[in-house]
Amino acid sequence: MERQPSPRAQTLGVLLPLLALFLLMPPFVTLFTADGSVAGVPLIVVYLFGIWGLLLVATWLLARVLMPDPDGAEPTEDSILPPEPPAPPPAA
Amino acid sequence: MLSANLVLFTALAYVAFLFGVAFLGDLRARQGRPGWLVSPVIYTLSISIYCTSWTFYGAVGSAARSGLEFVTIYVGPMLVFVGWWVFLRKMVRIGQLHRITSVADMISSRYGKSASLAALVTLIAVAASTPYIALQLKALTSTFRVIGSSGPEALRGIPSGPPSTQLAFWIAAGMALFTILFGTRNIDANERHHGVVAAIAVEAVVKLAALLTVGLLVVYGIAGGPADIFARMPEGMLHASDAFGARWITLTFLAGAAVICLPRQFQVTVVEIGDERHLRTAAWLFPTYLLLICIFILPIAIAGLNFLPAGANPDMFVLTLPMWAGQDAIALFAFLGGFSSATSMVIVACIALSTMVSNHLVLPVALRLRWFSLEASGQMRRFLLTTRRVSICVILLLAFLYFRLSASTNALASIGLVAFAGAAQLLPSLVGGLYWRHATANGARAGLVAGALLWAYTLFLPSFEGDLFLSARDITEGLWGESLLRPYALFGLGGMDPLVHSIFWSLSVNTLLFVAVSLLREPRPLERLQGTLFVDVFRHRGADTSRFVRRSAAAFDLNVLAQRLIGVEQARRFFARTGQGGNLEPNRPIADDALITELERELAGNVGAATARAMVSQVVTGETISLGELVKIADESQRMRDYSRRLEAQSRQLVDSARELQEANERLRQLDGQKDEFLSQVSHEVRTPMTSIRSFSEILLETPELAREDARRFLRIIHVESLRLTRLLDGILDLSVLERGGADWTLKPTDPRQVLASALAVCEGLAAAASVRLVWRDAGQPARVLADADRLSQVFINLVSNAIKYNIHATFLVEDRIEPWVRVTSGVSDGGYEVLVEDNGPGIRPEERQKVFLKFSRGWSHTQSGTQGAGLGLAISWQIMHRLGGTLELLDTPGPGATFRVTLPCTT
Repeated sequence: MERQPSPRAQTLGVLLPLLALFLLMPPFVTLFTADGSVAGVPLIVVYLFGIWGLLLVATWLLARVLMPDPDGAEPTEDSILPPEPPAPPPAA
Repeated sequence: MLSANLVLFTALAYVAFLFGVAFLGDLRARQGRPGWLVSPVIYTLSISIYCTSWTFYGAVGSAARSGLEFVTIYVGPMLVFVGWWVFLRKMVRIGQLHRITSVADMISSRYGKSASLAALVTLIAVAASTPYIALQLKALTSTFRVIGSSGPEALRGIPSGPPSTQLAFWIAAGMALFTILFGTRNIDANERHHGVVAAIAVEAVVKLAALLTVGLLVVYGIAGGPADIFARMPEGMLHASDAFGARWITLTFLAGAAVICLPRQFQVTVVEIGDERHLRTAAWLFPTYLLLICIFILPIAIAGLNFLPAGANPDMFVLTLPMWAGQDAIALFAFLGGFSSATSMVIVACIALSTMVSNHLVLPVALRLRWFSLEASGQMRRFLLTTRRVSICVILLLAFLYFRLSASTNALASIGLVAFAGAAQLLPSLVGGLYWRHATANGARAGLVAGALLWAYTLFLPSFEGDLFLSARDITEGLWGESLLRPYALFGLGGMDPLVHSIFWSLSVNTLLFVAVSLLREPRPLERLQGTLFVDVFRHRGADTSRFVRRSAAAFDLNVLAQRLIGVEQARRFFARTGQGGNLEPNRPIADDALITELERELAGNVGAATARAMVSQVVTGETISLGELVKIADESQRMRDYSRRLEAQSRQLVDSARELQEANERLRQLDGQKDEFLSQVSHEVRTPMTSIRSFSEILLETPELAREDARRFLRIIHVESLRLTRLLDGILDLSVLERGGADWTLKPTDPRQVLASALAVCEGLAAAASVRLVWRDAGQPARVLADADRLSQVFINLVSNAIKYNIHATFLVEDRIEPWVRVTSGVSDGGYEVLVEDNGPGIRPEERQKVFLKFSRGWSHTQSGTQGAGLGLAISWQIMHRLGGTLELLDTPGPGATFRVTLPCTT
């Protein structure tokens, strides 16, 4: 039985990529094209890769909420053989 | 410096190692112990074939030429995967539920399993992928020559001498061999290739490690850390101020579309996924991989621009920098990394494309050819496998030809973008189909054709720079000199970057036509059905369409078809699983809709939904889709209606049961009344003789001085009445046994004449005593009936003795002394033995005739006698005849006397 994640989590699941889009596309991203550097690395580079890293972490956290492990059990390994037909009952 | 031979040897050893991994993977898979093969990490690593040699080499080149632009190629996929909950999840779920085998299969399946649409998508996919594969060939040949050459010229990264077509050819042949060996070993029911997935996962690790090693070498080996390397950055290299324009957005969008629509990406993301939950891991792990790949691109580019000779090929920096730094081992490692990135892409792309070509181009055409028939089981699979192998060779040949034809000055990146743009034409139909129920196949077709044509005209053909279809003049001045048709400034929209220009026209026209043509007409029933199933995939628990499609087919035909397509073993398993036995005779049961749909789904796993449907429809007759059902599935209140209908049916059942109970009650009451009547009749019958017995016993007791003769007379009366009572009780018992059918008689073939003779012999005495003449006329034919002799005799005796008894009294009263007679006539008539008993007595009054066979009736009550029977004789005789399968009737004759007729069917 599939447990649906909470509506709030689902909304976040939709909002996160939209937020990412906003942060990484013009015009917002052009804010960081100014001359500047962080520890010698240009600002824009730090910004791009920094946001990238934060998005990763956010996705990781959100994924655990959106699709949790079923009650702590390990996800079963996918069987790639078709199910065997039931074995005949042992002869009486 | 490395020698070419060493490089060659290393490459071959590496390939052998990959063969080993693939072989192991397949082995484990076949043994049913997939283990680590189906972990989410492997899944994610397989998705990383997105990073081809374009990434490994071309990204640095792009960074060196255009600054930050290269980031878009990885931001796009990152956004798609961060938004996995929105789109990828839906695509994966549909893919699993409907057993989708390729991107063409998904699109065609969505639009009513249209075979023509599948073919169109396949053609576009092949056209778009060919440049990409050629790109890999180019990278492989260039790098091999660069690393194997020596001298300062090598560091320029531009291979000296003519392009080595021979080398490219052998590389292409080698990849064909690997793909055929591991990609077309068998036709898996789900189109999964575990060995190949294992090998490309290893390659993914190798290329990441290689790139990271080169990056670390550059940042910490050659330079003095991140600050140092960026301090050496040439001015304006990043192009930061104008990097974030239309091209930035377009490229990001294009890359995102590519990670969805490219056949190889679709293959690893949707088709090869084992468990939907793996997507949850890939959502963050794949962007992590991309981040790690990208993190050293800029430093390497900067280092190359700084340290390598001016004019060096920036696409080769990843290779030439370690060579310049004297790090041959790292250079070799980098070469292997690039080798991995190229080969893994080609292998998976060839598998995906060959699957589409065999399922959607070759098979449908072959099915239509009348001379093509595969009767033996397993032949179909061999045919499919052969088709796929040939397709792989053809695709690689086409890529090789593109490699030969395309200008060698094209940067790796730009060729790749042409391919991306081609694949992006699939996006409107794919995404639109998953969210818009009203999308139709016609709309998809219109959009795809228009988009593909525009892409070809504005991007693909011009990339040949005049060698294919479009001459150089056409490219600069437009087709037929028409300036509005300039490939890079279509309809006057000039001054744009060619890529952006092409994307703008192709995708906007694509989407526009898709929407407009879809709205022109209502979707066909199957389109609407598939549309709802796809769009609402999270609402419906299954892909079961049997509720909506009514089809019928002979189970035998289905079995033959299944054996042809998926082999005897799998067919047997399928039919066993669905509860239909194995060996089915022809013209045997009609298979129901659920079985047909299930078989179609099973076949779809092998040959794609469109082809499966085409094949099943060959044996299916009479297919209708209930439109009423279709409309209802979108309706939420349907559930309510179902529920209320069930309640209605239940209440109707209750009403019926109540009525049945009432009727049963009625019958019981009737029976009760009959029982009361019977009891009152019996007690009346019993009372009469009992009264006589009692009164005469009293007289005897109270008059001790009665004369002997009187006493004797009274005792005799008592005796007679006792006998009568006993007879009555016996008769009642007999009758009740007869009525209940509890008598156990033995029916034997009997001669009725004998029975009649013996019965008449018994009655002789009675007749003589009553002075009644008894006559027997027999027709003389021999006959046999199935009867119980004693019971039959009982009937005859009863009838004859009745006739005798009630005849005497009549003639007694009549003055003119007619001689009383009883005539018995017997013979065969109409296949039955017939006995008539006539008398010339007073007969039975008309109003009594109806009741003469009922219990206690007194048909002769007007005759009045002391020797009355209990009134049960005729009832008993009637029951006996009824039980023997014959009849006893009172004939409706005029005149004095009664005629009874007995009939029995004769046996031969």
